[in-house]
Amino acid sequence: MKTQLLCLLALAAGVLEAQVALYSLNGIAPSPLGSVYGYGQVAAGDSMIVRFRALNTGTASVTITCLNVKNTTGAGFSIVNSSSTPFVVAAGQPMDFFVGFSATAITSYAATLQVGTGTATDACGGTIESAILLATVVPAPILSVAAPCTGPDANRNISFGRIAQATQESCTLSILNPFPQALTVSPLLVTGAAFTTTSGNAVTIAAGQSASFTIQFNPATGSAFSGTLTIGTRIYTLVGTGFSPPLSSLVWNFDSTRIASGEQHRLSLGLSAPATVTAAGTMTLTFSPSVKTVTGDAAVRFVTTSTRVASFAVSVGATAITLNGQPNIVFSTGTTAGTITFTVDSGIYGLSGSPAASITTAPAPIVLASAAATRRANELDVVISGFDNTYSIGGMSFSFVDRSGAPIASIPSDFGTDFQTFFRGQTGSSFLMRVSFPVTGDVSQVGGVTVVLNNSAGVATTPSLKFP
Amino acid sequence: MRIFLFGLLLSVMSACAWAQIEVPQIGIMLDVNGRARPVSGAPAAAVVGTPWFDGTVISLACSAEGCVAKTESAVFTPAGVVVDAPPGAAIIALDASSPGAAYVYFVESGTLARWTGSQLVAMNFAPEGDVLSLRAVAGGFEYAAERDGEVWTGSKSLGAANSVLLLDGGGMLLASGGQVRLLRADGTELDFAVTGGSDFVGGFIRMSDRYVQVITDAGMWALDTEPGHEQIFLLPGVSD
Repeated sequence: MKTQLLCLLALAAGVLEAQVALYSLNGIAPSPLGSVYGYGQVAAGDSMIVRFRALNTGTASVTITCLNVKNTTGAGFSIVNSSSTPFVVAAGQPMDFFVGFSATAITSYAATLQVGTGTATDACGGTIESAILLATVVPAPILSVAAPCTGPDANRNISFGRIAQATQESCTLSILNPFPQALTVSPLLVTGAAFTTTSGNAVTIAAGQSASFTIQFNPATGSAFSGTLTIGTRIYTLVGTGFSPPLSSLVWNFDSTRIASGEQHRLSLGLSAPATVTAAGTMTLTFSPSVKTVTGDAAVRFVTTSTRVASFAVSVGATAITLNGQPNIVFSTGTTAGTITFTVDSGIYGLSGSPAASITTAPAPIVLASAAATRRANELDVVISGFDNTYSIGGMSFSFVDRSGAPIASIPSDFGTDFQTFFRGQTGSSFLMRVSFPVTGDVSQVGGVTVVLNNSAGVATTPSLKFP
Repeated sequence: MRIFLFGLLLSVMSACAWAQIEVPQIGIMLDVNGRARPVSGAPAAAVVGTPWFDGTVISLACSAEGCVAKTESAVFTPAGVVVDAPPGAAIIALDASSPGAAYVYFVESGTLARWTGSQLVAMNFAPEGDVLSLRAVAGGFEYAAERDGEVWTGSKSLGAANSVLLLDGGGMLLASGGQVRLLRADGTELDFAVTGGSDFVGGFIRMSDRYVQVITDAGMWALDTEPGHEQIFLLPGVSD
């Protein structure tokens, strides 16, 4: 009976032994672990962590009870992260763990990595896989970075900060050899499109001395850049950001300082200083009526495109801005009193000063475009066109004269309700009004009429209109 | 007696005056795509409407009586009358004395016809030079033509010009470079610059009795020819 039990245990051990294989991982790619794994050279005080994997290659689960690093030369290796044991690994599944190395003494180090499936009382007694880990600690120079750069930080990042694109920033870096013997730092390499150095590929530094070199950061565009600086066994990350300097403040040029409704004006735009980059964006026109009953005016816009958005562009070194590809742009003030605001959106280029300018069209008396008087058999017609940017037209007075010019009568009228009804369907205040006066009697005795039109801003008067 | 009549007149007028209000129409323009579009509103704050013809118009003339238009192959009116016509552009002179009628000169074929409102009636016409504009006058028509590098109306030279439009009533428009001259029948003259004189005026279109479209290589303008109201302003473009 006892013999049979021993045979079963031996058989079980043999089965388990065949089920676990060790790998090292470089990134996510596993490589079969041989009998020796070298960490290579590690700078004094640095740490290096390697990921290992115990893979269950069998068809049954296996319990890993031992996971151990036994330092045999020096004391630098240790398991830094793993699942706790015992750990059951299903068939075909892995158990990953991490073994770190760090030491300061300049010498060689060795350890044995053990992965076992022994009993609870002798977990590593049944070791089935192992490997020798080797590492060499080499002298490590001390890197320092002078302003305006900063770092290196705990993650070995060296920052060049933010500078304008197409400009250059140089930083001086120093490598100190703190050891009592000369130190050769090799390689000494800089990579990255925006980073350059004039230093050689290696440098030998006398004991206790420093060697300096510069790295230039030259961002070609407004974006983030990164690179690497390799100093011996250490790799630092170089980071810096290029940005587009904002355009200088805008210079707004309107063709007139007196702007009223019913007009077209030219706007040209410039910069107070030459642009440092070729930039482009948009200019938007918005309109805020001062008439409470009105929400907008369709005619207030850039005329040639009938839109309220125009493109703008400026070339590097230039101050003149083109609008829709032209040196200036024509806009209509519409027929509604209010405030027209132009706003430039320079996007990523930024802008110094205010991006907007506003002009105001004041409420004004009715503007008359045409006026005429006609006669029919029994009616007198007065036709007037124009616009009222206050939308308050209504009260009028018609002063008739006879053929000799002598006054006949002055007839007041109020068409306020008619106009308010008309304006409700419009997006502007332009109107053509035909007022008809049915007449009985000798119409030909009426020679002319003068019309006075009132709104909230004042009075407008037609010329003396002759009836033909 | 006179006072009585005027008093009666006054009472009737006061009681019955009524107003009809609408959007003022400036006329019909051709946009950059050759679409005929109505233009309305105040002159410098005008808006364009939707095309009244789903096709390309290459020649157009409008007045209060209506429009006559020319496509590549037909003469038509907004009322829907369509008549086959010689290909290419036409010079159209509306005849105010006969509403709906016009003289139509077909540039490519060099032929003249009378548009009656429903048909084209061929006319004998042997112009001296390249016809640039027509104008209906009592009993017939006048024309402006270019020959020997100058523009002529009859035996009168107007000098060099790249565009001309004969206006009803004896006036005319002449364009040289970016300058438009309005010549009145009474001999007075007004000059208008389009975009600082840098634009080339490529032609005129009669938008209405009062307004003329001025076509330049950088935009469409409208000139108000009404005496006392003369002004030039930029016509709205189209964004679609």
